[in-house]
Amino acid sequence: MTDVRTTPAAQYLTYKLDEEVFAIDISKVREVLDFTAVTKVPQTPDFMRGVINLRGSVVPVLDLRLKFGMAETTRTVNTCIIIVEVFVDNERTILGALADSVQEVIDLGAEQIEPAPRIGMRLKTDFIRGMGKRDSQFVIILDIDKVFSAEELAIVQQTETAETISV
Amino acid sequence: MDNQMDRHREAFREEAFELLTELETALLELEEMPDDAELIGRVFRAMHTIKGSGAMFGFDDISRFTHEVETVFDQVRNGKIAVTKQLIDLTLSARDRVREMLGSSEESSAAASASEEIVSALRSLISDRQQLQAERSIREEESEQSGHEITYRIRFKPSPGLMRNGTNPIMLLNELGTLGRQRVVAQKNSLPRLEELVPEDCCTSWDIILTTDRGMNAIRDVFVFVEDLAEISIQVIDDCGAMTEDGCKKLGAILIERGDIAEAELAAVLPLQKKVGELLVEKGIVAPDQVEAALAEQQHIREVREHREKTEAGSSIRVPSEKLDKLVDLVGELVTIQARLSQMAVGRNDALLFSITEEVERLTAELRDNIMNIRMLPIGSTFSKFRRLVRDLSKELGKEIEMTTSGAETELDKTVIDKLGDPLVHLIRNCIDHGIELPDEREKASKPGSGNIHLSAMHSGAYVVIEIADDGKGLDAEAIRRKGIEKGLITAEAELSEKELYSLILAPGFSTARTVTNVSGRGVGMDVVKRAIDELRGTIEISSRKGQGSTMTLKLPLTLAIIEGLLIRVAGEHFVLPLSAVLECVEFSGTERAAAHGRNIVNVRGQLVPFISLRQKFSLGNTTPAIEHIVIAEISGTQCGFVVDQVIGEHQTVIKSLGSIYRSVAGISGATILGDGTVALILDMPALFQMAAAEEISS
Amino acid sequence: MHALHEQQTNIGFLTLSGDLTIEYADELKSLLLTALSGADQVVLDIKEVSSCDLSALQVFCSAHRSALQQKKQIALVESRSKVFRCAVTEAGYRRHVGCPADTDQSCFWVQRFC
Repeated sequence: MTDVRTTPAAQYLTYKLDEEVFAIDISKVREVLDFTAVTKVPQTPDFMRGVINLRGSVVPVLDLRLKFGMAETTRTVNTCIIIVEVFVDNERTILGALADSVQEVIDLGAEQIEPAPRIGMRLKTDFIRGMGKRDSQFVIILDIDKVFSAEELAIVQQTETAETISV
Repeated sequence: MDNQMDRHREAFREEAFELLTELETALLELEEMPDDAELIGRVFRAMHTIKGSGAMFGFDDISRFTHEVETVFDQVRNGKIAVTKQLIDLTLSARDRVREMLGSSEESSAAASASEEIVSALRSLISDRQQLQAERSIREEESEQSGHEITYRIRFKPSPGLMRNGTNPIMLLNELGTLGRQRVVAQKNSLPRLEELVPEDCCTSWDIILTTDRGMNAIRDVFVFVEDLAEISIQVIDDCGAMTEDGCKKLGAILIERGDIAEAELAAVLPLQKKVGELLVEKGIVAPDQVEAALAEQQHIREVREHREKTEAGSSIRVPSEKLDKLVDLVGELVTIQARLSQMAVGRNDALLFSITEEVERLTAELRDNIMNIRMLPIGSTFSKFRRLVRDLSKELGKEIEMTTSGAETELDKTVIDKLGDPLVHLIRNCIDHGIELPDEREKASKPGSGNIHLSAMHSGAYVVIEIADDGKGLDAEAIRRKGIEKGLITAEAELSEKELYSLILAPGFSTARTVTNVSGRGVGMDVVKRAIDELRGTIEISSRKGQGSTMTLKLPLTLAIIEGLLIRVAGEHFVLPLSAVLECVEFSGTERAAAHGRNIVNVRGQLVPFISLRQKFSLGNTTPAIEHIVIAEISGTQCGFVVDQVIGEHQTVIKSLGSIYRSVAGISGATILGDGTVALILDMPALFQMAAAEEISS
Repeated sequence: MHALHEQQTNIGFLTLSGDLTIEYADELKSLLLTALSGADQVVLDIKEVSSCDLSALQVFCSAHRSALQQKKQIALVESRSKVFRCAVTEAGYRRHVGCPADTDQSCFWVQRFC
């Protein structure tokens, strides 16, 4: 369920997907990179854009626009990759998420966060930790661990097993 | 408790686990050779070390417990208790107990009573009086250990009556041997002709060279019961360090020092320019046995000194394996960067830059090889773990099985060894459970009642070949075939070679055991083994002869971190194929494609080779170039082609994991970073081949 | 200890099995004496021996010397018997070369023979 923390102001990184503003808890963010060449891994869902070289490590990159049912991210000068640290199956994992542009780092107190409406959102309410209100504008605070949870990524495994089951 | 102490305790724990493994190995060998003094010594030393360092780091329970076991083995060492099956069983369970104690911080009452039980059983093996004696002697020995090694010359000349009071001189010599490294040369000059020989007399005396750190008194203790029946002299001939500078003594000098010849006698033969030993024997000055003993002494001293130099100069250090892993990562990055540098240099047309780049390339390669080498470990430790498995399981199933090994010294990357454990356990379990028959069944088939499992390892190029061979009933090809059809893995008409048929047992869900035992066949089967071996980029092959046994052959790469790859391109995307399986590359023109009539088969110099188009398989690009290339590889004995746009060339491939998200994508085994910083995927050719074969069957 | 003595023309075959220990040392000596007196060549088969102590090694060595003195031959068939080889090594009987009496290089203790 939506979980409204009573902690004092926390910091969030806001970024844009299409015309909507999203926010992630800054403690989850490792760094923000300029867009670089992404190598597609064959036979995986479209929203999994592929892998990049992050100083010698191979890091998967996901397209949240596709994940959230928007059109595929097209590269512009502002396109960037937000590197986040999440837990998938209790395993610490480094992932990249494509963003159309990164906005700013904001402080949001608990009183500025409202629970997400049950309906009317285009994406699963599970993914949303709350709605941050700022200057009469709403930002969607994502629960990044849920977005990248094992079940969400399990699609990868399914498409794969479907093909090899007959071996 | 402060950090320092915690670290020490951790180090102790690590050491103790190693010692326990050593202990187990020694015990299992001892079971086969109960009189081997060397083995008894090994068991004793392992227990002794655990006890000593356990007490030092506050593992008092362990120390107290191991003391009991040590006490018993001291008695065994002194020949007062014989090695029995009961003793081995008890000690093995004591060993398991220590392992548990190391693992848990607090002792439950159940665990404590388990310890009690073992202790009281051990105690019942020795009488109270003996135990008291043993405790005293251990205390003495501890206070007296000098820590450094001294070489002694011992002359043991028993009176003829020695054997008549029940003393066995060979046992005595063996006991002496447990103190250290020794050489024994019998002097049998006083042996009379057969007619005059009194067979119960001891007509032999001995020259013994012994290197030990246990001190003169420990040597005297060995002879304590025969003091009245023998002349015993003990001399120090090499005290560590004190005599190193004078090099090795000449044979003549040794004989003089031993009092076997006089100086004048040596002087008389020296100018004759022949081997001193032969001359002296020829002239009848010394007996050949004496020369033999002197030669043994010379050689022993030489070895002791070499050994000492080696341990002093090349002493080893213990490093946590994570540090090595980090080092390998760094070298991997270095190799990648170096590839980039080389690529840049070629473009610059600068001779100086070019030569520096070449130098860097050479150094990087050397550094890489050296670091990979550090991680190499002998596979023997893994092999010895299985002795216990074989022993316990065969007992449980009422089978008699002996395990033999060869090539235990073969070295493999630590990561490979770690990951190899489970699949090997599974294969050996399979041999025990399904392969080897029950004793009466074996006898009916006129085979020895006791079965054999042979584990061997050897190097073969960049690979290590591991074989698990049993002399059991072998695989039933017909049963496998029936099962394969039943499970829909093959069609009823399929014509398969024996090898292909056997490899069906590696498919998921395949298990031919009629009943499910708790040894193998609990749902998981050989497919788990196959998967694990695939992950190590190895292959597995099965051969079998009905009634005579089967052999599983694993072929594994020496290292996991870096491979030689072949860089190829399809529709602008780069991929790496492991070069080890690649046979050749051929052109594939539009006309040849037309000649294939839509079938994925190409004619390579008269041989029909099936191929997989990576473009189709991965749905890459739309326009097929006029001329493509086929990389032909050998996969489990058959040839298979991979159609690509362009073959770029060989590539030093540093393997990177794709991470948990992409872990199970079929056909891709990992990724690597190219010279320009982009990522290329490494293809899993066997998996792609199998996927293609499966698609064919289902369509 | 069990012994089987067979004679074929001038070759004696002595097959020993069981324990070659001090209790049987005297018997072993007589067996060898008999075998040597009745033949020019004696073949000593100890493949099936289950234990072996110093007394047996002494008798063998002594028998070998006596045979050579009488210009007779004695050969040992041990076929890599573990028990025997172990005893030879532990008792320090192993040799690089035979003794001066070993004129035909048939010493039991030289590596090539045992």
